[in-house]
Amino acid sequence: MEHAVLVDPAKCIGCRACQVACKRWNNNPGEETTFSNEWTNPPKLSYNTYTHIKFKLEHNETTGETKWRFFNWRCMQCEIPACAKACPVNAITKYEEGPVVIDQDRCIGCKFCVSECPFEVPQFDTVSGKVSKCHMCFDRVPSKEPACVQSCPTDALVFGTRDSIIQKAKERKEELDGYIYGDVDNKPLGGSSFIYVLDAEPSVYGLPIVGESLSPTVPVLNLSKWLLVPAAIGGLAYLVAWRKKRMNEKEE
Amino acid sequence: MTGDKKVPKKKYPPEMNYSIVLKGMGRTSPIDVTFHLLMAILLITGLIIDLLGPWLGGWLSSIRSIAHGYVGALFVLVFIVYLIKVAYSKKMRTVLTVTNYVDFLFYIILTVTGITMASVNWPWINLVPELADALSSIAVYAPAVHVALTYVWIVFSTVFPGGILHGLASVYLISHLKKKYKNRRSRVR
Repeated sequence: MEHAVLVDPAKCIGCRACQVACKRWNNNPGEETTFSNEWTNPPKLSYNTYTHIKFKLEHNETTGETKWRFFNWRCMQCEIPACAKACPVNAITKYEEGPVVIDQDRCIGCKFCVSECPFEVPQFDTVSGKVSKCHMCFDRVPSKEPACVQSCPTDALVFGTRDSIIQKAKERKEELDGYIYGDVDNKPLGGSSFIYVLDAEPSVYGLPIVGESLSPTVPVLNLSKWLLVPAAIGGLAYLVAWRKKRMNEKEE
Repeated sequence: MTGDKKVPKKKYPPEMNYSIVLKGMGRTSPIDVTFHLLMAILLITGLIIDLLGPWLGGWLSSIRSIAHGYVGALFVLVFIVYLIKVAYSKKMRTVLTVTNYVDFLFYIILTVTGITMASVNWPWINLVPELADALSSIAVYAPAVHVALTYVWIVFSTVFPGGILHGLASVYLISHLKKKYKNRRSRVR
């Protein structure tokens, strides 16, 4: 049965417990970071950082109010993952429980998934030559919730069956008069296993508007190899004709 | 009128064949040989990755990173030198046909998309922010264009007498000529 995670940024307090839990469960090292003009730290996802909290400070000029928005960001675990469809070595699998997982032994580091992901999530490591990303703790679910969900103190992350999560998202949407991203209002790539219920438009959180189906570049990537058939027939016909011509010339 | 005038024996150039041409090319134009050799390696490794990837999986890792990646980087440098040589050498331009120039266009696009893919997530690209911005805007299309254009080039070079037919014909001719000379040598003995 498919499972999902409800992400409710309005409940997030930016404690980064999910970041730490993710690092610990996956045994990933910490990042060396530098000061920047914002509080997001590490500033972006990397080969060793599968999830992080984006900090956004909003200032309303008319009311003079300042508001923080905290926003958990990682792989969306799409229903039709562009990364998996683009992978030339079938290293990425979408499991029926929800997770989209990269098999590190199969990955050849071609970065097709990095280019094709509309959320720019997969990250390439220059040392190992492989790509990694959040795998929704496929080694825990569905018997246990993902590590980030377990660590969240304010229930900004909730794990459950997809149907129950969608039901909760709809109820929360009513309360917030908000927007569901990942299903119902916007189903990027057929829907995702991380479903956001937002109190503002997705663009406020920097979420891209992604179509329900794959971008045309993925089928082009997969189907272009069939051009070898006319090429082989053409090449063979050319060689046969050329040989025949030479033999005729010899006979003359 | 006496008829004793001696006509000097005419010296003909040696019999020319593909093997001699290839050996001569190696001696007179190493850049040509390097260019063609690298291109052949890139084409073969690219086809192996795309066609055998689902079966070979992780075994292709070093082929992708070394034989396609680093050789690709070397090819870019050689290709630039080759283009400069074409631009400055009238002798080289005289042997190039329209197909060759269309081939160059294919190689330029393949090179740009290849660099785009290589630059994704590499720290060195941040040293040149303008280039990073320019390449990131085409990063989404780069893999599809790179792969599809390779196959389009293969079709193009079989329909028109381009790279692939040129290569196949060379292989056929060389093997045919070798057989012919082997027979001739055995007859002499």
